Amino acid sequence: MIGEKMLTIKNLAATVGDKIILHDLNLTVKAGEVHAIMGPNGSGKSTLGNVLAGREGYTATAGTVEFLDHNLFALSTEERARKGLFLSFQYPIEIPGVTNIYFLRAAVNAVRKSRGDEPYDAMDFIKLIKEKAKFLHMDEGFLYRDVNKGFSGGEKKRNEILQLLLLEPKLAILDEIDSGLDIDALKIISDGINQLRRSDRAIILVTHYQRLLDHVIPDYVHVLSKGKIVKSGGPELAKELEQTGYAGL
Amino acid sequence: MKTETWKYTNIKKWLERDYQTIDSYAPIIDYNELPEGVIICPLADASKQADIPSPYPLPQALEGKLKEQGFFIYIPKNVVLKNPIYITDIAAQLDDPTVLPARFQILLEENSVATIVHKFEANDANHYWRRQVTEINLAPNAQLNYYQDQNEAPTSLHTHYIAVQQGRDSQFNSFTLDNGGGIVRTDLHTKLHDVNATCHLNGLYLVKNKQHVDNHTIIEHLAPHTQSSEHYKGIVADQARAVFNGRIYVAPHAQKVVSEQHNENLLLSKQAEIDTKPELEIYADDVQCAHGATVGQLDRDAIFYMTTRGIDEELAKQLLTYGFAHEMLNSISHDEIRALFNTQLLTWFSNNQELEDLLP
Amino acid sequence: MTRNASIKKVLAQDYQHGFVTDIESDTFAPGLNEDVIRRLSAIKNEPEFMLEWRLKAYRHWLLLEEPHHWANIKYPNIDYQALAYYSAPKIKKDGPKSLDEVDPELLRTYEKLGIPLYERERLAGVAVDAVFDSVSVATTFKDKLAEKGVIFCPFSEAVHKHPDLIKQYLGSVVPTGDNFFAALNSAVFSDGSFVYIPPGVRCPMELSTYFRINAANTGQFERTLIIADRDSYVSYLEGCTAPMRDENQLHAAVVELIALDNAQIKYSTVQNWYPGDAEGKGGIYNFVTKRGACRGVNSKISWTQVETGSAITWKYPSVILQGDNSIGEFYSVALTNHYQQADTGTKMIHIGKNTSSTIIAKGISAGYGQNTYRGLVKVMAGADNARNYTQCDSLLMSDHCGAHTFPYIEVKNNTAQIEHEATTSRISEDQLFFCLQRGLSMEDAVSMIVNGFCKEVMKELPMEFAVEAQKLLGVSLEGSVG
Repeated sequence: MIGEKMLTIKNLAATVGDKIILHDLNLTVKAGEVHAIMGPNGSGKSTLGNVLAGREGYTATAGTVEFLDHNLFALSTEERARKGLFLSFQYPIEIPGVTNIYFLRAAVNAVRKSRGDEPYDAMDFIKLIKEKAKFLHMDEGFLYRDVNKGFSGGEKKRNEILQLLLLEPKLAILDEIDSGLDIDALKIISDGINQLRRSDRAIILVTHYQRLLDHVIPDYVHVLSKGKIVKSGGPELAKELEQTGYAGL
Repeated sequence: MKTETWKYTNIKKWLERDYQTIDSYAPIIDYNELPEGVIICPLADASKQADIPSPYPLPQALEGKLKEQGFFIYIPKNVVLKNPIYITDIAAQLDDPTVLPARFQILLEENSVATIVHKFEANDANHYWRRQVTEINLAPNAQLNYYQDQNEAPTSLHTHYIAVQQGRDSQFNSFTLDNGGGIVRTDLHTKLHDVNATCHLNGLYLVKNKQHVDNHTIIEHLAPHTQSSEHYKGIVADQARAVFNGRIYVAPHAQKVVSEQHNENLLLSKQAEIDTKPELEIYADDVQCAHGATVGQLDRDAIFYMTTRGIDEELAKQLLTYGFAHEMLNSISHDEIRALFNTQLLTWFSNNQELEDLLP
Repeated sequence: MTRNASIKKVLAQDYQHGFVTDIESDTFAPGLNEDVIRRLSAIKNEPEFMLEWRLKAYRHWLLLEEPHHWANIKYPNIDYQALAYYSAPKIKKDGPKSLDEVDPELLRTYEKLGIPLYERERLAGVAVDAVFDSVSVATTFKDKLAEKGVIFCPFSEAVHKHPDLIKQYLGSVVPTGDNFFAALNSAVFSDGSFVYIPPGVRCPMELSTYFRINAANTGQFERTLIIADRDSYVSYLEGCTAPMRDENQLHAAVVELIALDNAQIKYSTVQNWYPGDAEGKGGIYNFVTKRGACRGVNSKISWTQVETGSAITWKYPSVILQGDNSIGEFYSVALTNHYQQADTGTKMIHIGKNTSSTIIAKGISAGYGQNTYRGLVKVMAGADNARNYTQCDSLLMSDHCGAHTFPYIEVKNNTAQIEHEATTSRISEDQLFFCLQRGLSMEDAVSMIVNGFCKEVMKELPMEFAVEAQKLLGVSLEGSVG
């Protein structure tokens, strides 16, 4: 519930290959909160999401991360996902030959099974997914296309939000979910994110631009620069950055 | 001779002939402003001796009699040649069957850059066999742009074996234009020995009458993180025949290789024939390789569209054919050489004046 | 589980059909000469024309060389004199009249393989011819098919009952001297299936032959001949298994298909011969010649194959497109794991006008497996408006395996449109991470990606086979949703 610890990052350092990307990074996120992490290109924003989700090649070299009651780094990638950590991809991956609806059901049932819930049967799942798709203004036809294959940039992002709605994670890390979207698509996606705001859930928005934060108002804004959080504040910090840019940091 | 590599090309007739040989070999080698240390000299004067034998079969009549002559080109470390070196090989005043064996050895030292244009021409020569071998060695970070303009006599046999050894970070860019020759067989074999070596092999073959043009290429990825691309286009008319065989080989442990190959062919007549065989032979797993080959004709709709605008059908076809071929020339970065190759391309069209007038 | 361990687990299912049936057999002593062929022909009580045909093939075979030089496969020389060329379970003199007379041990064998031969236990839509070593042991639903005039019987029976059809069509697509293994097969083939669909008939059920090699040191040489007369349709399935033995065994089959005017033949194979063990010991050498002739106008022949077994696979199911407007198709999934080698593909020979062909080939290489696609698209001078589309994709799953693509395109007609595309790539890290991040296990992620990779081919298989094929690939059944 509100105020419960969701994610606690202490003195985190991380490398990609032999490059140090993050160092001495501290961040605490509690249930019910929305955090925005902003920063210039190359500041380590995407790396943070990948380290937390457990991508191969992204190595934490120092510090600790607690996710709910778990030592995050003791969990495999899929265990993190099943315990409720969701990372949206800046460039969602195409899987030829695998239809979207099949992929979604496989993922949702894998997560449900690990929580001890009954897996959805095909009929129930179709009902559920059609409802969510409608909310996101998604054409049903695209449930039967191969995962992300031939999708436009906006469709891929909507497909990420669809998965987010279906998987109902505890902590959603949304990496540049707003990039490449026109204003209508941005509104639809923002509505999707706002629908997810709940007292037992936390959201981290990783973004380069302020405009998403007009639609999804964060509780906290952090500025990441050269692999480390250099400034934190309320939503007004985002406006300030819009005026002054990252150069002054 | 009945092997996979000679499946589509028959030079039996040429192996049974008797030949005369010629003593002097004097290609025209043209260049200006050669920086200090660059060497261009006859092979006999160079210390380095030929080490790659010609892979082509030798006529029985010539066994033990063949004397290869040639030149050595050396670009020292850190030297960047501003202007291309033009080599013009003219087969002139040859009557009886004659064999012209020649060899070039080209060595580029570290960080050097050079552009070489090798032109093969004929003047009053008929039944000759040009047996060319070119050995190219590229030291780390060297870059060679190698252009061939093959315009041999229609009664000749032209065989050219090009062996390229590439070191770390080196780059080999080649463009082969086949516009002449009776039977033409080019084997271009590049070996990418060390990381980040890259080659781009491009070619255009324009084949008509009874010409037979065979391009065989092999790209061997022998080290991780090596890249290659290959793109050959062909236009085959009359009773001519073209052969393309491109092989990409990726050795075990040569991971992170990226390679792409395309071969596109336009068949312009009922009797024309194309045999194409792009090959991928891959023994490493973390690679991205793709190839494609197409055989087709001119777009009927495009011809129709042009004729409805009053363009004569023959000219419409020529324009489309020219467009198909000219696209390849865009890969030539050197303006003067691109212009030269464009001129060659235009000679292939019979009434090129009308066509030329239309082109920018 | 790590990526590599998951891939191994998905692929390394134990061979399910490796048992040996303990049954008394009549088996020839090893060795091959004209007398052996005469004896074979005599046992089968063959008419004179068959013996002559066999001897002609044998004499030609002696002049041929094994195709070692061009195929991308390596194996020790086969000693053809060390093989037995006939092995049949002992039966009463005239052969079983009904299933009740078939040796119960044999029936149990087929039940264990999931092919019960009692009709009441069979899927209603499939008729089966069961071939055990050198002979056909049972054919189901013969009567029901006969009502429609469809002939589906063991080859040896067809020789007696339908000699005119045999004389007319046998060897008309694959001549006796076609290649080394086809010539050998022509000389010594012992049984197989024969199918004739009369004009205007749509065969009311799927026909299938289930091949089983049981005896040791015996080659299996079967021959299948399918004739679809004018305006007819047939879908035919073929399945194969063999016991696990340390020695390599030879299987050299020939399949000939003939489609007359407006006829269609759909031929599907799930090949699961014993592949050898994880160290590459044992396994079947599978040297097969399969070819169809689209003789009639508007005829169509479609090959679909899922090749997961055999130590060596050498086969090129082909279509000769003679009839105007005829269509040839080839859909293939070939998986090589451990030390398996496959050199497979197709030949599409365009002869008639307005002919078209489609080739979709998917190769999956794992372990030390070597997987080669070799295909020929040939457009003859008179084949106006020929069309071909070829797509070959290779998926690499280990750092010791190999994937090779050797397409030959020969075009002598300027109205042809030919398009070939091929890709070779690794199972992608990004795809795996994406699946894991959404909560799938590594194993499921690998299965799903492999399944997606093969989907275009799998959807061509008849339902009964699709399930088995999916299982073989270690892949859960996709498309169960929606």
